[in-house]
Amino acid sequence: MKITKERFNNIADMVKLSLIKEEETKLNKDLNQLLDFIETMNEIDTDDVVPMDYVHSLRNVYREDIATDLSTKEEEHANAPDFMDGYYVVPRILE
Amino acid sequence: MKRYETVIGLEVHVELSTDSKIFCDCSTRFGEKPNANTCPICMGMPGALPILNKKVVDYAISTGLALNCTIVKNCMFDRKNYFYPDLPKAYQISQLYFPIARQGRVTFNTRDGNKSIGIHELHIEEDAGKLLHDSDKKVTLVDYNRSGVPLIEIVSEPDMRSADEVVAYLDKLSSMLSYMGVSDCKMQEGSMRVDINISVRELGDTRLGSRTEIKNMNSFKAIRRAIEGESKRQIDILIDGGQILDETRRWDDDKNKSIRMRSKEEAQDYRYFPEQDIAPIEIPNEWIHKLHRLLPEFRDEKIIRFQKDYGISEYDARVLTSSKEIADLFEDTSKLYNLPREVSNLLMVEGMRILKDNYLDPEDLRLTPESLSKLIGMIDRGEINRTKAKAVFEEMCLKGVDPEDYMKRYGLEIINDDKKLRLVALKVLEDNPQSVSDYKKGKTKAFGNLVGQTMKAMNGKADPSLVNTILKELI
Repeated sequence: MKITKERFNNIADMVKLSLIKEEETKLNKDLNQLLDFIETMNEIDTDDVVPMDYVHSLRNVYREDIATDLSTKEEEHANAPDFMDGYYVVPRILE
Repeated sequence: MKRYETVIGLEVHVELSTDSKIFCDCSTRFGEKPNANTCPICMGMPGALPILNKKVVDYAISTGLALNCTIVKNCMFDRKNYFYPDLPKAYQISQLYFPIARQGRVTFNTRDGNKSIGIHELHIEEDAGKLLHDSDKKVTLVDYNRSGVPLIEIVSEPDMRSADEVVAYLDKLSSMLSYMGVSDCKMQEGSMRVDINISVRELGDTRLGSRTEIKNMNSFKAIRRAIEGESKRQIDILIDGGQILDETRRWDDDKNKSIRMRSKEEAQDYRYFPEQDIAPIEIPNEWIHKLHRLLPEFRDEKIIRFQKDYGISEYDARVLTSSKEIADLFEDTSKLYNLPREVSNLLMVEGMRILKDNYLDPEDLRLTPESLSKLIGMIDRGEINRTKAKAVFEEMCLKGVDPEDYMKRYGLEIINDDKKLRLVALKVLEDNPQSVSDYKKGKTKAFGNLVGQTMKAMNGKADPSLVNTILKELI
């Protein structure tokens, strides 16, 4: 399966990458090689293999429902490029 | 002329009543200062590790059971990727492939008999932050207090046919969820939000028409208008020979019409994949059985039982069970003092009025079954008249006062002292010879005046029926 230029640009767009021409060519090639590799794996018969949807053996890891105040807010707020009247400020977004 | 029917399915988002958020120990309290309830986890800081709140799973299982669903014993979370500032991680942790519950059913009464709505699935996810658009400064402000508040999304089958059915379904859902304590379902605070999937088709057609989705509705009135408006818009298109487009729309309640947001082609590509930060959930049967045993008696059952056990009317039973708090108060008080009609009367008439006048919710009432049963006893024994009882009841609701203490402190008890009443009555008769003679001439109105004068002389604390008897004797 080859990735079309259109699909490549669409993916780059979704993950917010702005690429120069050389990077685009290189990454597109890499991506297609990766897909070829996966194509090869597709030849293996996995009908009887249960899909692994979680890599650890951990199950049921929970915390109790207790609210505490960590008070790291000032640090968090200071991390933001723009903070005003208690709010984080981002470029204007309209639905 | 062709006839059409509307086909509606709902996605209902419900904020759960946990103390802390779904993946971190920030508070979920509503109405705090912006960005007061946040931490590196719900702010999506790199390296922060979310851990699932166990109560969220409890609540989701309980809800699944209440909606007659099959619990998915091996379920897990998925990552829904999207780039929007309401979730700083740039993804929402949700459930796509293995939602916690599937294939349920909700039944409720309508004017045309019982209606049953299929539940497609129920899944757990996190809520996102709130955006405020500042038109002056051309910026958007973000408050992340809501980011990470636990949600369950209840997805129905397209089984509803009218706005009435939708409202009845939502009423039933919110009643069940509040009875379980899973959510307060306050639409005005956004703890219950509804996406409406709506299509129309010719009556008798079994295929589904192209549907539109109307996002984020948060009032019953607007939902009703949106369904009626959108249904009409679609039917008009079909009558004109047009085609309905599969798209997402927004309901503008001021303009009373829906507005296109995005089409299917523009739909987001969420690139879902299994969430690796949260361990999968394995639900043993014991967990399910335990929660099943803890399910409360729901409203519909209570309505029937209250009529039977307490001899009250169906209407009264409906009003009393509109919230679990009032229903419990009624029942616990009636167990302490067996005069259910009196309890029901006070709660229904005065209680509901007090809630409305003071903009309170039933859980804000400071009344206890103990204090209310004392007041009922005092009314029953004639120690307090109804007008005064209402005033005391209001104090009990709002300030949590004890009726006996309150009466003593303010001297509100009724005076049943025969001797004392006779003396006062005699004085009244002496002072009002005109009324006495009028009464003797057959003017019944004059007697009322004498009763009034006696009550006034007693500061309203006398038992009116006793005053009546005494006056008649004396004249």
